[in-house]
Amino acid sequence: MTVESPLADRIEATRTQALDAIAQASTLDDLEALRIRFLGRKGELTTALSAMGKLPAEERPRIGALANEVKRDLERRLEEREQALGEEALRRRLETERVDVTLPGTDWPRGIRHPLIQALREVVDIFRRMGYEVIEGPEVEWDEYNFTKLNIPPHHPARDMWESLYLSEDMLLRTHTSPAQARIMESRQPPLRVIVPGRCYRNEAEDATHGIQFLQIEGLVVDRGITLADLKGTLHALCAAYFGPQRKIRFRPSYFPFTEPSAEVDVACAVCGGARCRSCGFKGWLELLGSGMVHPNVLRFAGYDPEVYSGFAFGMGPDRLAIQRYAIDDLRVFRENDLRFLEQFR
Amino acid sequence: MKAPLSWLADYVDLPGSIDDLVLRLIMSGTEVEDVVRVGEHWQDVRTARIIALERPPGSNRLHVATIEMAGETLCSVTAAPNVEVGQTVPAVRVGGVVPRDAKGRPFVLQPRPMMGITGDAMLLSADELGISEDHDGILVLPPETPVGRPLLEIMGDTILDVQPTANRPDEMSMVGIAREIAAATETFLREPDTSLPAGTRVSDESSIPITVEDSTLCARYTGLRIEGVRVGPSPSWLSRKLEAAGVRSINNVVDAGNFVMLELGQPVHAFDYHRLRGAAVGVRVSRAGERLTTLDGVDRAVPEGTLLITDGEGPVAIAGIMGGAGSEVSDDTRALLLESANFDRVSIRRSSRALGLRTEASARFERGVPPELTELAARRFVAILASINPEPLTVFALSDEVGRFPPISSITATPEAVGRLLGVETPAGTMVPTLERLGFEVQSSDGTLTIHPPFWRRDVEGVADIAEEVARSRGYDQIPETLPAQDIPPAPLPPDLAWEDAIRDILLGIGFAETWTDTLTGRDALERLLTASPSPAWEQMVVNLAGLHQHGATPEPVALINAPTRERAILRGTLLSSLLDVVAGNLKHTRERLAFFELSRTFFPRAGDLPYERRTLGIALAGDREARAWNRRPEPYDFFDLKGAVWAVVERLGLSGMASVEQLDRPIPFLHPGRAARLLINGADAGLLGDLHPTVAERFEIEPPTRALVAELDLDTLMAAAHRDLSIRQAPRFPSVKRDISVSFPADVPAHRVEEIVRAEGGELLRSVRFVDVYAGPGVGPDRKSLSMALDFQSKTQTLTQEQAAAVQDRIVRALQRELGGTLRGSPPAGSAVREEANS
Repeated sequence: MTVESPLADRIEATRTQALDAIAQASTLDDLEALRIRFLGRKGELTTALSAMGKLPAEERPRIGALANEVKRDLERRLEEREQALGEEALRRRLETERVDVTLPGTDWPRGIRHPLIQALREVVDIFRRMGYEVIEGPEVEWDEYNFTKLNIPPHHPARDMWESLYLSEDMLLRTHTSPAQARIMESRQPPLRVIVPGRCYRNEAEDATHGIQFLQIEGLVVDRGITLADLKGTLHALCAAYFGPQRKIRFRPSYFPFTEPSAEVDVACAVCGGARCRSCGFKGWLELLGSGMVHPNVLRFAGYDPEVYSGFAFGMGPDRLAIQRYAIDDLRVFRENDLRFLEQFR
Repeated sequence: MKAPLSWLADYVDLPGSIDDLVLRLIMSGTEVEDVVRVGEHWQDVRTARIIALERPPGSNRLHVATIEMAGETLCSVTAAPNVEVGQTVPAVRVGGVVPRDAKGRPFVLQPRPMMGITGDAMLLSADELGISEDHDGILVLPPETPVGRPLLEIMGDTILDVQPTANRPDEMSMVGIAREIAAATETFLREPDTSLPAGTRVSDESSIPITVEDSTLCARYTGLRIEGVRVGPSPSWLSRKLEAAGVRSINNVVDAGNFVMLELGQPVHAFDYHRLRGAAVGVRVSRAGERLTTLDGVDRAVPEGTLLITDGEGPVAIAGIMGGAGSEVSDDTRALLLESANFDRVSIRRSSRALGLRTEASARFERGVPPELTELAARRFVAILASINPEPLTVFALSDEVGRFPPISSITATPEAVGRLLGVETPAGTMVPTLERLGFEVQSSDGTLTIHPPFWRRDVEGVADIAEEVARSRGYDQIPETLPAQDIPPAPLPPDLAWEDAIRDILLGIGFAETWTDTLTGRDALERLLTASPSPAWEQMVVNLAGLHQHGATPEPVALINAPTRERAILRGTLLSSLLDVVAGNLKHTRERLAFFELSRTFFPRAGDLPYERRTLGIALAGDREARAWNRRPEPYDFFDLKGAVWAVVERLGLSGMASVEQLDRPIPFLHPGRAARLLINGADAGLLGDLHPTVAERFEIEPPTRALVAELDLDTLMAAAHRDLSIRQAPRFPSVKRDISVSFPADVPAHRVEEIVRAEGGELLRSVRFVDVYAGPGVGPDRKSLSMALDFQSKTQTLTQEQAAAVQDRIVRALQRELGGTLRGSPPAGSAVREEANS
């Protein structure tokens, strides 16, 4: 549309001028000023249109249309420019916020699990999933529960298997978690399926493989028809769950006064798998735990009839489990509580 | 027990592979602790005879030995002081391997001149052969040793270190181990021979009168008098056997006794018959004040009740433990009384402990020796001695005092009963031969087996024992693997254990490290926590005395009666000294994030009962809260970090509504008096927390500027009140109005009081109050402090207006003014302080 009129020319001139200015604007504030200058209530376009009243009536629609077109044009251009400038400003801001992503991340505080307690909890979890109940017993025990009720009468040579720390003639720090067996059997009737985790103590010279204080987990199952095969299956399940199914274990006959038959479970050396190497002291297999069928005398002491009930029991040290899993050769690292060691168990 | 294969081979044919033999023994229940090979790297060692010796010029230490070895004449330069012409010795030629150098490694012998003479062979010591530590001289072999033979043929051996389990005293003997090998390899045992050599004179005269006072302590006493004895060195076959088994050779009489003990497991003792006063022996328990000088030359006070052997006048031996010096066999002994007796194992064990004297004999009696063995051992002894005594012996009639001992009862078992225990079928057809190989007699009728254990297996008493015999013979690897039938419903974790796990997880979750420290400690270690002098009161370090008294316990140490050391003499009554030691240990290498906790028990005595074992949580903090890093500023842990951790535990146990942390009501010597508090649950003590007292910190070698903080909680008290809070509320639907106010108070007004009043006045509409600043200094006046609080107002039923919130706030400020002397310092103008938040 071409409109030949001085007012139209003025409007077009304003357009040209405004478009130039918009293109030149470099900030959002500049744009806002231009909007006010050209489109505001006292802006140039508005001012120009105020002269429209003086125009002949037939020209008014044309000029009006032109003015509206210019107004829309300017608004569109302002908006476009505003968007471009906004994007530019954002781009510049983001640029200034650049960081060196190769700097290390924040070292959030994380808890450090003690490997022995962790091993204990894992084993407890494995047995809980197999339906075992968890019970506890006192760390200081009567001699009667620690020994006599487990078929180890006073002066029995088997007492030499446990060097004990006594608090009085008849009271000692439990040398194993087994007294809890006697306690639970005394207070309940079969079926029983329990594990007993806890600290135990033996009067041993402390070295790489012995400590006075250690953790033990006792297991006891008593019911009708419990067999040595059940014991084997259970301990296989434990080892498969803890070490993974590839690790070999073996059962061999042993002796404990409170079980008969008794079995020791050995695990193949983590390094050589039983072929004998330096790291297992050329033994190939390492003792993991002791176990067996509950001795008929122990059942009788609890008032259970060995003709009716049978059971198995086992006792294991989480320390042995942990050293076998991590191929650690010195138990002392567990009681040093050195963060440089423990940090690996975050 | 050291069992040389060369000795075992006297009784059983050994399988070709030693590894296989050891594995079979282990898998049938005989623990083989170690396998020592005698003769490793002996391939080049041969026997040689010294035919001449001379001193090289200029030396009074060295010898040039001319030796004959496999038909050759060689020469060797040696510094050994014990060389003599005519000796048979081990030697290696130049170019051959010497088994051990000073570091225990084999090496190839190089020609090396000594004093200008280069020998072409080396004579070896026991040390260089690896058979003992003795390197004082060359090993001199018995004169009858053939010359020029490989030493391996003559002395090579493998020694099993067998550790018999406590139920198998029979394996404390060569015959016992050989019997196990025979059973495991399905072969036969050759019994030791007790026949006397031709020429031995046998007398009808009884050996000796025997009086046994109490046959329950001495089930059997067999005495054998032997005359015509000539005491002298043992032949090499005997001394070598004993030495291979780790027993020193003494003379033919002592060696024959030791041989019999090692072979059969029956300890025997030879008295010089002529040195027994009054030709009679007795067995009785000792009376108060008796003494005896034993074979080792020690004059011993014999504890009352010890079993003694007496002659006509007094004690001559401590029964089953050690003989007396007065009746000891000497070089001019001509007649013996051989004692082969059976003593009660409990009595021997007690006496051996009381005397502090353990011998090969007492070790065997303690485990239990079958009374059936005494006669066999006596007969075997005399057979051995007769074969090595230079002249014929005269042997008297055995005197045998047999008391009453329990018979071996037979066991009735069915293959089904055994199978039920093992979980695998055990037909009679395999059970019977298995048991028979182990020496059991079995009679079968109508599917029931009547089993008679051999006399050396008194440990076998019932079906379970029979099951073990059957299972171990078959091999445990033949037992299938099954799981117990699942007919027990799963049980929940006991609450205390569940709470322990919850506490552990919350503390691990906020970055703590769990420790594992010793229950056993020493008084000195614990008393580092006490500053008060002169007499530190134990109870001052015990958290929650009231709780102790409730459990009938007293704040005193629980002490061991046989403490291994002073540092391990009592059971700890607090975890804090252990935790502070952990802190101090780690401070040697870091100051960052030393945040430890331990969940364990503390112990307090109870009269006439087991000690009270209290579940206890100990916490220790030290050093900086943040690891030093490019984006973090290190800040030391402070009291409020500790309190926050304690509070996290309190909240996890559902106790925040009943818990408070308040001023101490008694001085706690190890805590900073101005930075310490007690934790109360429903007004009752449950724990202590605070900065470690600087004097105490120093004792733990925690030096300024590092500060440590500790807390100890009585979990028994906490857990008794703990519960899972299941009253979960929905998130609020209406927006809240947040207002900040700053109010100044006299400096000693506790924040806790301020909060109580704010909450009371705020009522339903106050959702939360949080202290956001604490300020003292210019602008608040002397002895005053300003607390800034962020108040969050909210209604459950409507959108709160600014006016409603302002009205509550005014009420709060007026109450603070009235109750605590608070002055409103400022509530920033409504427009800027109010932030609105839409929560729905």
